[in-house]
Amino acid sequence: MEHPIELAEVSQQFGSKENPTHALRAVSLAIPPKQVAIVMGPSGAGKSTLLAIAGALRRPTSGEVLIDGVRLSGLSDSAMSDVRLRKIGFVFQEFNLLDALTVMQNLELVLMRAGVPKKQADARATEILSILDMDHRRDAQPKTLSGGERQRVAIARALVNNPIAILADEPTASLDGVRGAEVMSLLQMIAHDMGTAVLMVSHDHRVLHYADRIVWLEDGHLEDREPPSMAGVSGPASTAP
Amino acid sequence: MMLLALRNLVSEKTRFAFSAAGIGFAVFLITVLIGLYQGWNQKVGGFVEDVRTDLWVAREGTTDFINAASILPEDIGQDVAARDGVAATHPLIVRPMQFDKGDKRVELHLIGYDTGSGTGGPVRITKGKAEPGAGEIIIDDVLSKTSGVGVGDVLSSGDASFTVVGIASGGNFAFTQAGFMDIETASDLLSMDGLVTFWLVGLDDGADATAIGQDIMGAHQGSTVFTSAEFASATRHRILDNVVPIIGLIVGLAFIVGIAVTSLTIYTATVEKTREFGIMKAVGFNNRDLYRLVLIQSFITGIVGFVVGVALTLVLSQFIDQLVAQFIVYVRPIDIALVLVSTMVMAGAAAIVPARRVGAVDPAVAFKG
Repeated sequence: MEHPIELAEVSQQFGSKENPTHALRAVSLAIPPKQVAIVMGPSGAGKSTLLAIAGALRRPTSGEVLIDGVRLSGLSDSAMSDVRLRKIGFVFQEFNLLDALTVMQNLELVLMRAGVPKKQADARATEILSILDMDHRRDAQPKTLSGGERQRVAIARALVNNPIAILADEPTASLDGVRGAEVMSLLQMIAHDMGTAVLMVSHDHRVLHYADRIVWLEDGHLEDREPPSMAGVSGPASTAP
Repeated sequence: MMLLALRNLVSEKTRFAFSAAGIGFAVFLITVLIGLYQGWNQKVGGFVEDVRTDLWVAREGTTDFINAASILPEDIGQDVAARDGVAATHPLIVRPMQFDKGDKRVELHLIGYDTGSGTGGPVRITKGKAEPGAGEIIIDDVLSKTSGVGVGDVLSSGDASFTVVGIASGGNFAFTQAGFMDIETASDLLSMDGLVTFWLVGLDDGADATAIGQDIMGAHQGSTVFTSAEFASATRHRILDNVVPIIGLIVGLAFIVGIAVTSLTIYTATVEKTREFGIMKAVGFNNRDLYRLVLIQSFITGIVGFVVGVALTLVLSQFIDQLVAQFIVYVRPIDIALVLVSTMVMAGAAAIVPARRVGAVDPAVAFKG
């Protein structure tokens, strides 16, 4: 099977040609199904840039990104949107639910954008909310939910179109330890039981034991670390978070 | 998408209210001005259309009914009446006049008509006598309201005095109103013995109005002939052509104000929701979806503003002419439909700049904590 997400020699630079900033330097990364990969590194190392490129949100300066075997470089902006809609689920640090809609409507909106008829969308949203034990809050407004509940709904939205990969940006950063652990257990369950690849960026060392793979990003370079070696993931002393 | 658009608007009630009020004000202004034009259009030419005649004979160079400087010899009427196809002729004297009621000046458009036939006389009597006799006058009801002159009052001009014996409707020309006398009284007052302003010519059924008009003009050098429709149209053009550019300019300004207010409020809302639009892009919505969302919000705002603006106009049109006689607002269904189309154009134009802003939103903004 193809890797859900594959980056080959991806570079990203910002700023002017005379004074460029290299966020990523010829980075290669392939995330297979069922794997929870956590990207760590110092602030400003380019972790969010990596996630944006891997999630088809941004085009790299050079290199190739493949999602489910499809090269993104030849796709239009609209086709990239379609890839995000059908292949990728995003989980954000600040949950990023649409406050104007209810929990159910947040999920249905994404389903209906994918062309799912209202009735099927309703059934699918209900199913996902049940899996995540949030069906009792289906008619609630996001603002009335706790942080943990909101992140569960965000995960439900990410899952609702049955993506091949979940990209998560600091999903536990706005949660306490207990809620953070619940969210990580969910992401691990999604990867191991549903076969979805999970690529996650985090500063939180407590989440590392949920990882199947840890990669360290610094100065635009990516390096694999061994999950059990907690000392090894803290990186160089001068840049440790 | 419609649900999200509605929820987005309702979640910012004050802004939505301002935006709808802005577009409502523009719609109100546009509808009132179009209604005002239609009201004037109806009044200015309406009397000419209501006169039961087929042809108007006037002095060559006469442009319209209101500014009638026409003077014709009375004997033309007898000659015209003898022509084939002519059923009847009636003289009419028309002249703008000032009368006095005590210390008060009353301006009116004096119409002297043949009371025997009633042609050219009051359209509908609403109070008092139907025909003025010697020393009597019937005035238009709008003039009665604005000047405070009623039945039994006396209007004087020089040594002559005239008792108001009736009130009529249908003689309001928006900028002036009619007063009706019998033609002999008017002729004496204006020293027009042997002269008239117009000859009104009624034709036999099936008679060729154009050919008879040409005959009359050929036989009486210095005369001109209009059909009723031509004369009503000429009167409208003469009066309204002066105000149409002004009305058009104000309608244009109202249109721009409507676009500006709506665009500004939607743009502000768009800027505030930049992150939300970024999130939508991140989860798979493309620019076209978001343009549609902005456009739907703009259209909803436009429709609410349209309903408010038209409702205000309809309420206002019921009583505004009681307060200001010249303010005659006549709103036709076709004009409401036209304003609806204009409102949608306004709403669409107002969405252009916000939509461009949405198009430029970077979906990666969703990652920023």
